Amino acid sequence: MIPWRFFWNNLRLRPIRTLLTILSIAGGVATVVAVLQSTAATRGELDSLHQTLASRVAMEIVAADASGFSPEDLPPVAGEAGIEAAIPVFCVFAKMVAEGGEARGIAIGVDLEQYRAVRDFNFVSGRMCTEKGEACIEANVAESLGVSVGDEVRLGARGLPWLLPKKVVGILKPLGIGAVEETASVFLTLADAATLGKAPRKVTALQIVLKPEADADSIATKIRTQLPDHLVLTHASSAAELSRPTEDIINVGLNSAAALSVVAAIFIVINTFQISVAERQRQLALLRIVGATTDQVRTSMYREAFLLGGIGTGVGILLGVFGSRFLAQGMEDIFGFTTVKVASIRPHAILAGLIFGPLVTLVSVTVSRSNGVRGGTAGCTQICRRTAPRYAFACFVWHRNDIPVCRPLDVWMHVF
Amino acid sequence: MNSIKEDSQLDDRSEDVIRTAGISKIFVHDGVEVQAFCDVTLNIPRGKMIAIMGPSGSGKSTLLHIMGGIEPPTSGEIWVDGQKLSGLNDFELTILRRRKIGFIFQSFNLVPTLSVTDNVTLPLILDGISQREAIPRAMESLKRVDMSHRLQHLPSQLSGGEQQRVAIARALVIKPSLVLADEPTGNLDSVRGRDITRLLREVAHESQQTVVVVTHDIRVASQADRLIVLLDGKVRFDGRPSSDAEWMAALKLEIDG
Repeated sequence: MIPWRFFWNNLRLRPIRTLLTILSIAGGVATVVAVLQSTAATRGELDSLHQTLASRVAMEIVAADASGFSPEDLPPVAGEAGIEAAIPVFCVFAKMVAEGGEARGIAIGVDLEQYRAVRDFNFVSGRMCTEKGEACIEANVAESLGVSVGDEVRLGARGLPWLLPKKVVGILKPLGIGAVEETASVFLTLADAATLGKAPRKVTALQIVLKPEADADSIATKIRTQLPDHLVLTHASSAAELSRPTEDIINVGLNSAAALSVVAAIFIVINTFQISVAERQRQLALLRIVGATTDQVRTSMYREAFLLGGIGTGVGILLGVFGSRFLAQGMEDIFGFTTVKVASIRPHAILAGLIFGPLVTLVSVTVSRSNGVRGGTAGCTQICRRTAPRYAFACFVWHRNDIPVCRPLDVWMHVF
Repeated sequence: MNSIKEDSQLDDRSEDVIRTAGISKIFVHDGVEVQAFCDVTLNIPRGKMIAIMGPSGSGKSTLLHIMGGIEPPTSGEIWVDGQKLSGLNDFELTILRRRKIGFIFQSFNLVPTLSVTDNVTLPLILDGISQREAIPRAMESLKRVDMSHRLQHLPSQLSGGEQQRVAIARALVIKPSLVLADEPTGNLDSVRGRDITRLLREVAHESQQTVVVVTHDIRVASQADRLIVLLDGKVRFDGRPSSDAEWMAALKLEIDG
């Protein structure tokens, strides 16, 4: 067996080459880990975006002419099997005026306690609006208007000749995605919203949330049979549906980026090993001349490669986990998410790194090993007669008459 | 499979370390056949120093490689220490070289990342001998070439003459029957070249190890027990020149071709 000292001295006396080899493996592993980490995080945020856009509303009962309607016209759907919640809402486009400025958005009249079944939100400050004249404002709007709990805002709507004063009793923040246009800007009681929309005691929709195992089609069919003529059942609307193709495109892009990164990493690592073997061909030939068998030389190459591969994989995983934060920042910039969370280590990314590092090392050394023992002993003798360059940068090494050729990008350096 | 001898491949003329029978070597480069030498028959006895001379391209290094089992002859047979080489696979040839043949090169060919001691123990370690057993043998070999004082130096820290001494120690550590030296003094000045030549002669005579030296240097050849001159792929002189006239004739073949 070729002694460990042979490899150790090789690594120790050629620190730059050793470092470059380790870094190339680490770079490949880091790329794989970082891309998988950040794409998983981005997919998570896309799912969250989708969920937010879709809310949890599966279907809505609305008036056929898109106007308000009396809640008494609604069939008693809340007790139907498979329905988790049926929440009456009144939506109206509204203008909000405060001392800090004015803003336009959607006012939703709803029982906020019930509304938790539809969307997730937290109160930044204050409480739910439960009484007439009270309002809860979305945090971004409150910030832009300079409004806090206890302040007064005035609300107007199209066709309403005056502004209605409301007392801000709560500031809330939707969970998941912050900047979604269809998130309400202000929440009121159902009665106040109906008044703002000039349709007292009416609602604009009954939003229906289904249980997870419910059969949406059969429930929809059943509800439709109970509806009066002026009401229709619609499937939940469609920002979510519209977002699906975009999400698919993004997913394809992320998958392509991951695949390209893996291919690039494989090429880099294989090339590094090719160069490393090419410039050490003389040493490997020397081993053959002094009596090492082909298997001994190959085994030595595998041992050294796996030592470097192991170190490179470990370093690469650490770099990948760290680098995924920067990649996630890039994803945020591209997709405009509020946050892409990569704080948690994704086991599948680490596992991929642990497999990729040794696997690509194995492939690389297998591809390169024939160069290390090329041309039999006679070839080794010829190689030993040449004065070998001490270092090579090259893009893939191929051979002509058993001589490593690195063209057109060969730059033989004698400086290390 | 470490055993390389089979009865059918043993030659009973064991006093000859090398025996060739009508060996020829033809290289093919880009479809063109080039004959290195043709129908060479030699018997090289144990414990002698043999010099092979000839102009460049006369096939002397190729002949040395064939003697060392590095390259196969195109035709003919060769026995090394009684072992017929044809029919041995790469592994068996490697084991044969490792145990019976020591190589010395013009460019020393020491492993640059190993110390003097490690370079000399390397053939033993490759043969499965433990470090504990290998080191005393390496010391003995290094002492023989007078290199005991630079055991932990790297080859780059040695002079050319010292490197060649270490290379000789490495070749001798396995106690080979045959030492093949390809222009061992080619990279040395005359004083160091003379020392190396004297050392090789001692090896041949004191240890009964056959030394075959390919050289262009008449001073090396003059120390040999026998001179073989190759020209145009043929053996043109084989023997020990007994007079100045014969030396001059051999030298003329070497120079003029």
